[in-house]
Amino acid sequence: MSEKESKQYTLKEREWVVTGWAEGQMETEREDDKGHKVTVMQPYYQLFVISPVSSYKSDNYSARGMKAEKLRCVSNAVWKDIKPMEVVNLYFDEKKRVSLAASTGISVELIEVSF
Amino acid sequence: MEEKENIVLYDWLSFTSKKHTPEELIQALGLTHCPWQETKGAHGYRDRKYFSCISVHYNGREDMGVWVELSGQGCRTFESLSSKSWDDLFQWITTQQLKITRLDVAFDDHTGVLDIAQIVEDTRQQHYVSRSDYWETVLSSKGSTVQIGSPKSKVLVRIYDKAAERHCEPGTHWIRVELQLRDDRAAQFCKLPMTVGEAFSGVVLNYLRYVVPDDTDTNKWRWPMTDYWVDMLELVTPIRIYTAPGMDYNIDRCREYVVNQAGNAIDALLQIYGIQEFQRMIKDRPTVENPKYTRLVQQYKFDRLSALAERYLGL
Repeated sequence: MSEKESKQYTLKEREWVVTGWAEGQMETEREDDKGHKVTVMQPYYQLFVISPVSSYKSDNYSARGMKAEKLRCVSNAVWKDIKPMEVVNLYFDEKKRVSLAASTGISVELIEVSF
Repeated sequence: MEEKENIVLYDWLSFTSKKHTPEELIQALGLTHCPWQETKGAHGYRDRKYFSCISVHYNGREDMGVWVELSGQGCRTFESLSSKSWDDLFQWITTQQLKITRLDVAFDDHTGVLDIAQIVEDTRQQHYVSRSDYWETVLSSKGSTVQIGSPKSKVLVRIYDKAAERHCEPGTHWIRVELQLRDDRAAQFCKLPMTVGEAFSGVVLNYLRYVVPDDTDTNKWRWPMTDYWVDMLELVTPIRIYTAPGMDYNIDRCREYVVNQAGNAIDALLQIYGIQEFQRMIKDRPTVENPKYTRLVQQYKFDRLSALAERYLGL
C-alpha cells in the first residue's frame, strides 16, 4: 500500500471536514418600536467545510468528488473545541444553522486525489 | 462512502411527562451538554427547547405536561451524543410511568432481500395477510411506498424505497420496512422481553405477512410466507424462521411418532438410565441431524416469538 493510500480517509454519513471559520458584523436594516427603519450591526458566524458530493445522477445532473460549503452557525461557540482539518459531526437547528460541531477525534490533510 | 449494513433502528420516539420539567427530561435524555435553543412550541404548547431534531415542548395547558419528540434524525442525534443508551432511556420512561405516544422501528435492507416492485405487486394482488383492512400503494418521484394500516391506527407498516427517496447512486439498494406504533402499542413494544430485532419480527409476524396463495386452504394466515418475507425476518432476528410450503410435518406428528412408536423403548431407557443420562445419550447420538427436525424446532421458536409479541401487544 502506498503512503497516499494509507492516509486516505473515507468520510462516513453526517461527517464533514472543517477547513476554517469566520465571524463578523454586517449592517442590516430593522424597524424599531416606533416603526422607524434603523441600521444595526448584526453578528454572523460561518463555518467552512468540505464533504463528498451527492452521488445522485439523473439525465440532467451528475457530480463527483468533494464540495466546499460555507455554513451559517448559531454562534462562535460552534468552533470552540475543534481545529481546522478535523473530521466533525455537525448538528443543525431548524434554520439549518450549525448549532454544534462534535469532533470525531480524526484530523485529515488534503492530498492530490484523482477521481 | 461506507458500505451499509442491514440494521434495525429506532426512527421516531414521542413521549409525555406530567411530573418532570423540560430540564429534567433533557437530563434523562443524557443531552444536557448540547446547546438547546428556545423556540416556539406547537400543538398547544407555547414554548419548546430544540436541538438537532429533538424537541421538548412545554408551557401548554396544565394537564398537558411536557412533550418530548425525537424525529428520525433526532434519534440519530441521541445515539451519537447522549450519555445514555436506548435501553437506559426506555427503562427510565417505564419506571417513571411516562406515556409513550409514538415509536417507529425500522429495518433497512441494503442487501437486496426485498424487492419493492414485487411487494407493491403482491400488495395489489392481496397476496398478504394483515390485521388491518387498510392498504395503499403510492408511486411518486421518490419511488414506491406500500402502507398497510390506516394513518390513524395504532400499528401500521410502511415499506418504501429509501434509495429513491434519498436520490442515492443508481444501483443502490435500500428498502426500509417501518413499523409505526402508537400509544399502548408503542409502550408495550418497549417492554417486550427480547432484542429489538426479535421484537420487530414478532410484531411484524403478527401484523403483516406476504404469502403464497394456497387454493386448498381458506385460512390465509396458514398460507406459507413468501421467501422474501421469511428472508427478511431471518435477517432481522437471530432465530431462523421456517415456512416450508407443502411439508406437512408438525409437532403433533413428531410427538405421535415418538410416543406411540418408540414410547415403550424410551420408557425402558428412562427407567434404566434416568432422565439426565438419557438426555446425554440423545444429545451425543451418533446419527446425522435430520433437517426435518431442525426445521420443526425453528418453527416452534418462530411460533413462540409470534405468540409472545401477540400476548404483550394484545394484538
